[in-house]
This record gives sequence, structure tokens and C-alpha cells, in this order.
Amino acid sequence: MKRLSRLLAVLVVGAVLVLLVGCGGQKPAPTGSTAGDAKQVTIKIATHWGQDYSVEELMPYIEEYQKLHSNVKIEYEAVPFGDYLKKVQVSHLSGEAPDIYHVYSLWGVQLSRSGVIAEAPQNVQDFVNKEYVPASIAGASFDGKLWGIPTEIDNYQLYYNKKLLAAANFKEPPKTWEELYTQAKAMTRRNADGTIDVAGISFMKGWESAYTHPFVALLRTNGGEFLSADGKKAAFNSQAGVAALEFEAKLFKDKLTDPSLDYEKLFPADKAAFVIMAPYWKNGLKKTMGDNFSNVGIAPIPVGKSGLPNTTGYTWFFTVDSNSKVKDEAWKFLLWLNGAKSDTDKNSRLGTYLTTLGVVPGRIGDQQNQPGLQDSFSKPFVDALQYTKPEPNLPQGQEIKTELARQIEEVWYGRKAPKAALDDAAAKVNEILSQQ
Amino acid sequence: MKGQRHAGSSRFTPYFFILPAVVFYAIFFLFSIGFGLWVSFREWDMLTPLDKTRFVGLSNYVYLFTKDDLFLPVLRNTLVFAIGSVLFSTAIALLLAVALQNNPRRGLWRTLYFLPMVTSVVAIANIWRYLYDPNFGLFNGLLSLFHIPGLRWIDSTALAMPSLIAVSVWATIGGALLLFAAGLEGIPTMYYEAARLDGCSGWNEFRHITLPLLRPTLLFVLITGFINGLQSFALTMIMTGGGPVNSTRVLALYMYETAFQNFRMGRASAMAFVLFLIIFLITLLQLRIFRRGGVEAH
Repeated sequence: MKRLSRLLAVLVVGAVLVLLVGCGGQKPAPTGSTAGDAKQVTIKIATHWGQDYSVEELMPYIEEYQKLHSNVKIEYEAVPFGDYLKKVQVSHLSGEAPDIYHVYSLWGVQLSRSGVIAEAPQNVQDFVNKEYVPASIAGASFDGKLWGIPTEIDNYQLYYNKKLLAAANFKEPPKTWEELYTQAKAMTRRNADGTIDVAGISFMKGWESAYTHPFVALLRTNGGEFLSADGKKAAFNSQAGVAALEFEAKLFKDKLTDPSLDYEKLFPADKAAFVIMAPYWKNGLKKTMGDNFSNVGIAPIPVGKSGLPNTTGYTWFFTVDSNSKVKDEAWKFLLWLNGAKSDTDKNSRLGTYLTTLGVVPGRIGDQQNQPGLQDSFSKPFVDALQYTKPEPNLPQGQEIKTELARQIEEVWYGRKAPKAALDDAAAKVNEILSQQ
Repeated sequence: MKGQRHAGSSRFTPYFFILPAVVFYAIFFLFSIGFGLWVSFREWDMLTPLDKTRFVGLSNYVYLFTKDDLFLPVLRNTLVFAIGSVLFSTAIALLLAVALQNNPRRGLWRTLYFLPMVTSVVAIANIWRYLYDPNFGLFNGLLSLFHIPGLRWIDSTALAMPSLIAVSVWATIGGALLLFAAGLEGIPTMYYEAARLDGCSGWNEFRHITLPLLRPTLLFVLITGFINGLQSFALTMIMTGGGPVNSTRVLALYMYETAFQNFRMGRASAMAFVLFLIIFLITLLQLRIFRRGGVEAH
């Protein structure tokens, strides 16, 4: 009996130790706790900057804010873009969510309807409506409300290789689809075995936006739309959409490009004449190409039958977790970070940081005043914001894009005709939309 | 009486010893399985509080087999990948084990073959992706030396799956090889001596002595191989992302995308249980086929 009691005691102690080690660790100081005279506040912010992009230029602003507000501590966490949505899902479930998220707009509807994120307070709404381009505001708005402060806006333009163009005796980049085809054909070079050595055009691939965004850009320049006016049905399988996908199919069929090509390797190596891409590639290209970066030109997406310039884009925005205990402080920090630095300096701190990343801020003051946005690379993206229509914020938006991307890929590989592919995609998308 | 009391108290002692393991198993296995099963009968986006999720019965399961036009092709991809990887790696590992059995450098060879097993699958996938690159990859570079046109290895719908299977076979041969080597060491040499006395050699020895006596090892290799093969995820995700055109999309990857990108955790949980059932049935089948054999049985 004595032996049994001793054994029991050992097991109980052991179990308690295991629980302590597994579930313990130092608990972080609760946010909003009182210490000393001022109320100490810890704001946790998580973005994908720092993993995929340098965050060194952002840290001085965070330190500056902490110096100005000695009771505020800001904890910054970098999460890879590919893991960010999972981070939001899992951390919100576990109650360990950051206070501030930096969210890709397409996720926003799901996050707002599930009660994860908080609607922007009135002063934030007034600030955004006054200082941001309509495309950015639209990206952070759904269900008739604004959910945060827009940050970067990524619209699509035509990257072209000036050296290849000049060698093929073209003075200007193409303005229409026909010109794009003609120029791409003239610049395509093949090896003796028939494989492509220099591609007339190279497309992004590998994730759903890679397939859908360039297609939607072409669709819009042809007068088409992604969704019906009421947003309840797919409209990309209209004649305009079929023509856009038929144009893409022709580029593949006539071997001016190939689905196996890697645009990231080919374009910097002068092995692809055109790529339809967003501005965030700027710094990556500069790093890879060095002095040859001066060969990169940016032009509007060539237009289809509509003859009107158009393009698509996507946006990001800062928002606050609905369960955050420091909501007011979080919004205050965001307003400071995104507002003009001073009465004389119209640039914002975040806008300055985004410009160093090579992306375009959605704030008008930054677009007009940031020196880094006035060069021949960034200015066309900024100018195109006048007619950029961001992708619609839809519930199950990611799933909808995935369905469309699958069908586009089928066409690229010659396994489906464009009309059949778009009709199949539309049927799936309509089924998803009807469930909302 | 004293002896009876002592016998009664020691009856519970073993249960106390296994209590921590049982608690661990209950929390991290039974609860997880039960929760997953519960979620598979609900519509849940992982963001909505659990008490606000909607019960949908068997709808998620029905959807997979009636409305999801990608589920069955993905299931087929998964089976092709698992069967291809396991059969080739098992056959090659077995032949290598037999060939190296009496090799004076067998330790070195076994180490070399085992190295991929201790290498991160992420590293393996990234290196092989570069090897397969149609423009800059080593394989097409070697083909070009012989004036053979380069292949679109993982960019071709016909070649992508065999290319992935080749990587998986290369990465898993080592483990099976070690197990077969150990199994071969356990076969008494007297069987081979007796067989040689009767004029048996080579293929007949392998067929009538080695294989039957290696059955338990073979069973273990096949069962664990299939379980791992059917659950393969990282290799496909990194090398092809499931493409081109879903030709390499396997169930674990599709499940992950359905749950974490499409916000459909209920449907993903239903997929998980379908996969569980398939693995269970395949394991039962293998147990039935290989139930007899081994040194003890003979």
C-alpha cells in the first residue's frame, strides 16, 4: 500500500510537470495592463513583410512611434504570405491573434462575415475616403462598409524588353492585341529542337492569381467584366471574355510562349519580350538585372475591341482584430503610420516604406509626392490607377479564382476550347455565388 | 488475507504506468479524430465560432462523390502516386538488398542510399525542381549533349506524375533497403545450403526461399510505404503545386487547399475520412495477402 501511494505520488507529480511544460511557458503580459502611472499597451502586428520583403525600413517608424508614446509597445511579427491566412485562422481560433492584420483584400469578406475583423471607426473612414484612390477604397470595402486602411495597390501593366523591341525594329510597345501578337511573333526565337529560346511573351503561373489576373486585365480591355452588375453571376464567359481567352490560347498554340516557361528566369535574362505583371516585381528585377534594369519598359495593357485602356488589380489593407483589447490604440497607430508625416511633407511613413519595396501605395499624397514613384517604371502603374478596377471582394473569392484558374490552365495546355472552359468555370462560380 | 490485499492493489499498478501515454493518446489522437469526424458533418470556415456552425449531415461526403469534379481525379492521382512509388521503391530496394548482401562495401552503399531519408523533403523537392527545369535543368542539359530534345518533365501533363514518382522512389529506397537488409540477415543460411544441395540457385532461390521468408518484412515495407504514399503532400506542393492542370494534385494537397484556401473545413474533413477509409482497406488487404510467411512460419 505504501509502495502504491508512493507510485501514485510520482505519477501525479510527473503528470503535473508534463502539463506545465506543455501548456506553460511565460504568459505574455496582458495587453492593456496597468503598470505605473500610464496605461501600458502592447500592440501586436503581423504582416507578410519581413519574410518575403525587407522590413528594415519599416522598423524605424515603429521605434519612432514607441518613443513618442512611451506607454506603447509594438510587437511585430513577419509571416510568409503563403501562411498568412492560416495564421489568421489559427491564431483567431486559439485566442492568440495579433491586434493588427495586413490583409489581402480577397480574404476580407470571409474575415468580416466571420466576425474576425472590426469595421473601421468613423474617423478612419473619413481619413480613407479623403486620402485614397477609389480603387484602394473599393478594395477595403465590402457589404457597404469600410474595414480598414488600404496600403498597397497592385495593378497590372505590360512589362517589355526595350532591347528586344529595338532589335526587332519596333519603336513603341504594342497598343492593341494585334500589335502585341505581331511584336511577340517577331521576337520569338526557337532552338533547333523546336523549344523556345526567346519567348514573345511569358505568363505567370503556379497560383490562381497568376492565371486569372492577366486574363481579367485582357477581358477588361475588351469591354468585358468579371461579374454581372449585381455581382450575383459570372460574366467573364461573355463574348468579350471568350475573345480574351482565345487570344491567350492563340499565343500558346502558335508557340510564342509555352506553359512550361518560367517568366521570373526568362524576362531578366532577355529571354522573354513581354510579361503582364504587377509593380511589386520592381526591386526583384533591379536586383537580378543590375544595370540591365534600364531595359525594362512599362506600358498599358494592349487593348482589345473596346479600344479603351483598362486593367485590373488587387489591394491590401490594415485592419484590427474584432477581439483586440487595444482597438483604439491600434487604429491610432495606423492613422499615424498612414497619415502625412507633417504639414509640409505630404508623404506618409507607410507610403515611404512601400515605395522602397517597389510597390504603389493607395494614398493619393504618396502617389503624387514620393520620389520613388515618379520614375519611368512606377509612373505608368500610378497613372493606370485612374482606370484600374480591383478584383471584386467576394465571399469564397479565393475558391472562385481557383475554379477560373483551373479552366484557364486547361486552355493553355490545349485541353479545352476557351468557350467551354469559361462556361464550365462560370457554372462553378455561379454555384458558389448562389450559396452565399 | 495479507496476500490477497497485496494482489488486489497491484492489479491497478500497470494502469497507472500507462496512464500518461493513454492521456496523451486520448488528447492528441482520439480527440483529434473525433473532432475531425464531427467537423466533417458541418459547414465550417475555421473562422466562425464552433457553436455557430451548421450541421449538414452527409452533404460534404455526398458533394465529394457527386458534385466535386476534381475529387475523383485527385483520388486517382493519389492512388497512382502511392502505387507507383511503393511498388518501384520496394522492388528496387529488394533487389539492391539482395545484390549488396555479400558486398564488402555494403555499409557504405546502404548509407548512401539512406541519405535521402534523413534529408528534408523541402530540400529534396527544391533540388529536383531545378534538375527538372526545362531550360536550365541538368537533365535536359544531359539530353542536349546527345542531341535529344529536352522534356517538359514537371510541366507536361503526361510526364509530371512519373517525374514525381521518380523523386519519391529515389527518396524512399533507403528505408526499405535497410529493412530488407535486416530481413535477409534473419534468414538462416541452412535453407540456401539445402537448396543448393538440391541444385537450386539464382532466381529459384530468390523465388522459393528469399521471398517467402521475407514476407513479414515485405508486409511492413508495403504497409508503411502505402500509408506514407497515400498521405504524400510536401513533395507535390513544392515541386508542382498539383499541376500542370491538376495532373499531380494528390488528396492531401487538395484537402489542404480546400480547408485553408477555400475556407471549407467540413469538406476537407470529409476528404480526410475518405482517405482514412482507403488507407484502412488497403492495409487490411495487404495483411490478408501477406498474412502467412516468414522464418517462424516455416
